[in-house]
Amino acid sequence: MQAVVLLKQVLDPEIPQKAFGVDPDRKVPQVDRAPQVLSIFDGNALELALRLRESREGVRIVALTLGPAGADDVLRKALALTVDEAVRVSADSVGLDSQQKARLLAAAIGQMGPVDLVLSGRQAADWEAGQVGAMVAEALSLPCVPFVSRVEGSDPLLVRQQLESGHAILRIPGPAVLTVTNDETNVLRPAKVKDVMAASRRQIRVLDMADLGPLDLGEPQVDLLSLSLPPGRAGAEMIEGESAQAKAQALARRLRQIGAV
Amino acid sequence: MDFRLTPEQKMILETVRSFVKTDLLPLEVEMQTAELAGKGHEYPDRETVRRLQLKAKELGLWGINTPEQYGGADLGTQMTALISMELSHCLVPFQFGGSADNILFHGNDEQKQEYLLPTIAGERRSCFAITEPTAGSDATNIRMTATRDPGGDWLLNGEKIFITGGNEADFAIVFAVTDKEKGARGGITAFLVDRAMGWTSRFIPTMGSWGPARLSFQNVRVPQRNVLGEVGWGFKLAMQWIGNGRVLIPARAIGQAERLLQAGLEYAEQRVAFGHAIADYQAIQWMLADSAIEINAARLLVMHAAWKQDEGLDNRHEASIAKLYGAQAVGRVADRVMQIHGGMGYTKELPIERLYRDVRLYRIYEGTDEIQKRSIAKNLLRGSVRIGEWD
Repeated sequence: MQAVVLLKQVLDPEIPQKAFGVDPDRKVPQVDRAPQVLSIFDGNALELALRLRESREGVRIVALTLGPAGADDVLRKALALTVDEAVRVSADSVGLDSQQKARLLAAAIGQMGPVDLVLSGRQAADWEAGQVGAMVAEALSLPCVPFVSRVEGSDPLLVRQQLESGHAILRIPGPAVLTVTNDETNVLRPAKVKDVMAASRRQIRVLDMADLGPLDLGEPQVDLLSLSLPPGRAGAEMIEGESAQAKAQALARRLRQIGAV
Repeated sequence: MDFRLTPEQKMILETVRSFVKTDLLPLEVEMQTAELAGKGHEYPDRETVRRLQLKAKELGLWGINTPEQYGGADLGTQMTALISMELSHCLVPFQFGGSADNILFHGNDEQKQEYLLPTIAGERRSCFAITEPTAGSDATNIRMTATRDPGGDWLLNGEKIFITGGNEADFAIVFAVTDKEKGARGGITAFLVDRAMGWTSRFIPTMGSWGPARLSFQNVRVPQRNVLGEVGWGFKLAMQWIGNGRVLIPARAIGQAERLLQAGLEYAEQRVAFGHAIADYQAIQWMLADSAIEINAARLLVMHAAWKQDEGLDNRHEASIAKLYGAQAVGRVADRVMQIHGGMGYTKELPIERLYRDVRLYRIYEGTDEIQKRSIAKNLLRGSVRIGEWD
């Protein structure tokens, strides 16, 4: 079984709010100082793939990303977690919409021979569009199972799908795209030191546009008109008081005063 | 000149961070409870440390500076320094397993089997015993004697003091005078001495969590096969031991200083006085800025000294500078962060006062500030380093 995991490098969502900015003219986030990390749900997807490989013979994992050379860091991480191959589609993804990215990724997957499973995070931690996984399925004419949180059985493949309340168990008989959500069982494991060192000696396969053959990316279906930060909120108001009771009374008075209760 | 961490360094630090977050940080509460009960120096106990070391081993965090042929990861001094900084962001004192005193690697095959390998495996614990009540910085002046009896064994007599790990050790690497006339130049020998051979230890209470021991030797009989290295040339080994770890002390200090600065920063932004967060006041800002400057400087000094070590260059001068500066800097940072916290910082509700006491040790052990300055000045006066020289 060959499983492809889509990995996206994003700005570290953990950076303090104050450190985040956008360039309104270029309509992109300012990335100068912020570290780049693997998008969290993609990490969950990778963990799911690793668990699947541990529970079933003959699973081969390919990590695939789209972006400039800097995006290799997420592939190095995947190699350190012992994926079997790492591939980067070399393209500047800025300005591409979800559909165009999905077509590029699908074209790369098309180069990989028979692929049984494609896993991606349910959405990326930067734009939160949540579309690429489903659109890759569309481009490859595969079914898409969203919000998968666990592999419940490896042969036949059974997955747990998270629902608004509760969950469903689904059997996946043939090739499919799974978009993965987080769960306490699929937190991405830390890399082992020896695997990190071994990963530094492994190659990343780079595919450029020419390698993907004739490809019609089409026009962007979504036009980003403007990008701005939410307006700053007024500072918090501290309620003073000598004791807990006095503070509670002062809080109740204030809530009444502003019409909140 | 590239100051960026490599992807490998970043990933290994991520792994360390993950271990710290999952396994080490949750113990801080227990440690603080032990501190409040006056038992801070007993925490964490040997079983806890062993359990944590084996957990870390699963991630390959084992023997980080031990050669691969001995099962280590052999990550080099720079990586070890970076790991040490990361690890000491957590206040629970902890070292990864799988390492041994560097001079044990000088043992013969038999000694390696009996002492080195079990130490690396965590089955035995060593201590390095050179300091005596009347010989600290001037270690060439030690008085412990080793005399040979007619049967060929050695008899050790004397006292060792301030021996790190001396209460827990199964064996000691002991330095004793075998030829008074020759002194450090051919008259001091290193011995591997099992506790079972008859030495005793006594705990020395200190102002911090460092709980060293006083070791007592009265006619302790040590066989000839337990001489480490050559008879008479133990002092050379001692210098190698001291030199090897010097650069890692400030690395630990940097991690602690960073943790302190983070606490100072957060408190300064939260604490309101005279209608403003105290972070708005210049007096506090300067404390934060001075601390950040010193931490950054110490970090660069450590990494430069570590880089020289990895390159096989003589780094004694740089290691002395880094050790001296890092040890002093963390003390100043602890002092400022306590000042930022005011009365709260002085209480045992917060760990600041403990760190304030603990880090004072760095200026004393493994070469005092004065010894470092003496070496630095001597290097300049002798011309063994030149002003403005980089490598």
